[in-house]
Amino acid sequence: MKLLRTLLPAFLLLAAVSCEFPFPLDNVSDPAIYIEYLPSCPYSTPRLNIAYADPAYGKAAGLHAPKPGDVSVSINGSSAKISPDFTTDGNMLTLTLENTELKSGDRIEVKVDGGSAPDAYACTTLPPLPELAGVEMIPVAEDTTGNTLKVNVKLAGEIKEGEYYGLRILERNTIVSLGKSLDTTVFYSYKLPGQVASREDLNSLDLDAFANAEYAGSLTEEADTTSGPMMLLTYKQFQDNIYSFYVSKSGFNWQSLLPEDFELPAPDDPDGQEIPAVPEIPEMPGEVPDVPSIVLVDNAEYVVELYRLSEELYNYYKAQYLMRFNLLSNFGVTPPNFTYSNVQGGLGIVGGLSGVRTGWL
Amino acid sequence: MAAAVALSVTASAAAQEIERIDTLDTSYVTAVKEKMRNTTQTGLMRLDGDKLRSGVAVFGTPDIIKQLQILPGVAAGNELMSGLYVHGGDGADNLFLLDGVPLYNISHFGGFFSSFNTDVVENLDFYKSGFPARYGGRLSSVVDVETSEGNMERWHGGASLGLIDGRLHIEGPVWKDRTCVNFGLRRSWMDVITIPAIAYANRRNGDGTTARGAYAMWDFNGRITHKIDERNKLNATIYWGEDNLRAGIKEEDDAYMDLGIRTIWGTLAGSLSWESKYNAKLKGKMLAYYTRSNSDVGYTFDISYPGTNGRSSMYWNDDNICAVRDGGLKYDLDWYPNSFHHVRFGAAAALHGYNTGRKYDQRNSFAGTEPEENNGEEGDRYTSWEPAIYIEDEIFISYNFTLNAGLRASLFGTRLKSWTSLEPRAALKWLITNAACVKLSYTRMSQYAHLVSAMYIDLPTNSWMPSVPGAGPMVSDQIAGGLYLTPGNFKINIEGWYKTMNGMLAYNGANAFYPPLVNWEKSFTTGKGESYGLELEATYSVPKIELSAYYTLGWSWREFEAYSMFRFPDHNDNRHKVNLVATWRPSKKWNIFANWNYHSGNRITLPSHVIQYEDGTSALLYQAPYNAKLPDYHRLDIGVDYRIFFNQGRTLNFNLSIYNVYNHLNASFAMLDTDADGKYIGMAYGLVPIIPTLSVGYKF
Repeated sequence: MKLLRTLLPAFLLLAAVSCEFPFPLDNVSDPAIYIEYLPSCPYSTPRLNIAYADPAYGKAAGLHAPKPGDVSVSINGSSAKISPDFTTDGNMLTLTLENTELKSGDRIEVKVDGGSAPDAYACTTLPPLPELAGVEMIPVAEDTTGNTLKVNVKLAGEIKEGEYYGLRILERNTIVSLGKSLDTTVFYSYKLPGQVASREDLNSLDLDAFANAEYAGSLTEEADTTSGPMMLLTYKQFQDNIYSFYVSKSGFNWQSLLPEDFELPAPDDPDGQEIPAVPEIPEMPGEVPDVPSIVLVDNAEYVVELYRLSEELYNYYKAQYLMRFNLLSNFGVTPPNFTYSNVQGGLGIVGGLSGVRTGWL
Repeated sequence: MAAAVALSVTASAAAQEIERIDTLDTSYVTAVKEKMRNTTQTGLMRLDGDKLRSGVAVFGTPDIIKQLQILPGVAAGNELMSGLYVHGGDGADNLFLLDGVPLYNISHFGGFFSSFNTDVVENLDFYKSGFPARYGGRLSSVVDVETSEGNMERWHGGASLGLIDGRLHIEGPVWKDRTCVNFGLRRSWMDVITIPAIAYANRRNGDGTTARGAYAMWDFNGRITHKIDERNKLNATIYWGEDNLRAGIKEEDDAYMDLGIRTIWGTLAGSLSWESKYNAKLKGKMLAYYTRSNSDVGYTFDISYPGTNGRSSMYWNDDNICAVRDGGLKYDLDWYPNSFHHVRFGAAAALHGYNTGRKYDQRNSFAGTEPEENNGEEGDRYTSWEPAIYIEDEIFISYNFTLNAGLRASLFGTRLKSWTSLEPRAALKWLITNAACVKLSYTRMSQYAHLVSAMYIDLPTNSWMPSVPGAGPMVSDQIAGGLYLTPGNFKINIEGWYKTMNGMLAYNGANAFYPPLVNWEKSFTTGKGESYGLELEATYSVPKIELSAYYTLGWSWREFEAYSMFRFPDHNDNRHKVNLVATWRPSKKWNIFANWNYHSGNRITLPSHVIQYEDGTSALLYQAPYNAKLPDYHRLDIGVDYRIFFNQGRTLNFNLSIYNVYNHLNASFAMLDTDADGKYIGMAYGLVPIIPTLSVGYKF
């Protein structure tokens, strides 16, 4: 017993030693060149970020961004003209490709003279345009409010193993409201395609297929409001060339609150402007306006944007997604997050995409 | 003529497998040496039941898997878990056989304890390479556990109590020299403490809120053996184990709320076998088996509350179920046509059923509205069948050379697609002297079943699924070879291996706790693995002392294009691994054990680079998976057995085991942190301190 009384506090003391301890990581990495070529398609501007990436655990070497002369870009083997962007910041140099019309099948190569870091090289080939065979939107019967739609996106041709796609949904809400006078407001927002129509479908929920990327975002920059989530799809997620998802209309179906015998005013607004049937899609989705007190009509329409992604771009976007959401990977109990890079000698991404969009549906 | 006689004697001796290694120290050592010389296979380790029952008992329970973890070529993975990563394997590619019946789930409590009750184990064969053709279906290792038939002469038994569980064991003749039984039962007893402790805390709390929680695991092994005559024997075996976790909270006031989770998972495996000696040259074994691994993860949400229009209530009950069920037949034959050949051949067929499903019951009743009810069942069911045939021949080419050549052919059929596999196996032994031999082997293995898991710990949310288009079979090729010496009291093995694995799967989603079971293959990406290294095993044995030293120099790589364009090290790429094991038996009463375990740290993924911006902010970048190494792992375990002997062979045994004696907190995981200067540093977290445990057992 005496021995126990002596040993027990000793054990407890030993067990109480702090469980947190730093460990050296000095040799984890060497200086490297970071390349990020965000893809080109008809709806975005190509951008090339080149950065000097210091080892994360060493002493910061001060600001030393690569120079434009260190970078060369070629398209289908011909040198492309590049110019520095005004947003060059710290160790990050931003370049734009001048007078460049890119098309499917173009091969883009980026080389960077690394200086004190190894030279870096990466390339990609812009994938072919996806061919949309049709898009249908069907109200989900179980949702009596009519707010939920099932969308079937059908591709033409055979979808082959190794093909990667991106999907974005733009919503346009046209609101006819009655304030002091009849008013019409149109606003736009990007939707995240959903996998389930209601809570009863939760068992079929595949959280992994929710992988999405902020289209205009990058590893080094938070996405801004101009971007919309791009659903990341592999060939595996199409069945008989069809990918199905659900969208729920933004806001509330105000019309359902009106008495059945309520007579809608004429569809001309008091300003004398007709509600445009297919307004131009703005470059940037606008801010959601204040909704007037009485909404008479809230009409939602959609544009489906379908992209074909190069494999490296898909992996890059998937890596971004997992870095944001697979928090468990830090705890040593799950496999690691993707850390995709296709840059030889450095890190980062040079990827391509091409896309098509429907009209308003 | 003399040479012919010598050859015949050697061949005959080699052809007779050592059925049971005697537990006496000297004969044990001799038998092991004999076995090493006799077997043609590389990478084989045979452990007998007594050895498995002795040694350091973590939490007071001897654990087979933790004993295998110390062997060279095996990485243990996360601390305290039942991980078995053999020659670069992924941990879900080991074939566990219990009396010939495959087991899918071999652990309790998330992997803390293995399912094998050492009380009933007769012996264990562990193959890391050189797999004979009679084994198939997994890539990286075979753990063939055989339970003891029981004692045909006398009744024996025992009971023991450890830190977390208690065990009962009984064996003896039902019909002397004809029929005997062997039963073992284990049950954890943590709930015996936690249930009253929580009840007491609830009573003291007294605010209308009550918590509940209990965990229990149990398993039962049974074997009945009946000797029909000298040539025929029947065996019936059963293993049934379960884990049960329940927790919840209830609040009773004007409003009522009851939230609860319940998780039950387990394994059932049973077999009937008939062993026959048809004649002096031919014997056979027919085996029919059923094995099932299942889990049920559920929750209940029950709430009601008063309102101005009356009382409203919501009740949701949800159960997510997954199971794998196998029914199979095996027929194995041993044929000794002459002194130069020992032919084994046979056939097997298994019907696999995999199902996932959900039962739900939802009832809502809101005051002033019509009650709603929604309930039902849904799920997916996969069925596949897997016939296989094999033949292997141990050919005694000459006094010095033995060749084990074999071939296994299998088919895996599903309603979507079928796959076939032809797996050549070959092992060659060159007996240089009576104390030295060289062996070389080549094996191809294939695996049709995949573990849908996204974690390194065994959770009930893990499930087994068949190969499907997009996630086909995995295939490995392995070459191994080495030098095996037995000078004097030493046994020294130096063995190298090179292994490639194709069709490996890795989860590429974000829902690690519960990977989707519907269209599961969409959430996995395929890749390759490569592993190579060198193992050194040195054992010194004299009657009272056994000293073993194991060293592994190994590399384990992965190539998953979706993770990285370049190959990267595996999570368990432990460059160096050292295990020192000492056993001292100063007297019949005392056994003293010590194990020192060391390995290079497991790999983790941390940011590798930083981009500095003008305003002082920075962006962190990742270059490659598993780019960093945790601090090296090491710990010392010691154990002491003290026995008090009574008459008629009864003994009282006390075991004191201390895990991690010098309380070295090994890093379980790491995160990124910054030091006082704002510089990024790795911060490791150790979770497992010194754990002393005492267990007591009584045997009669």
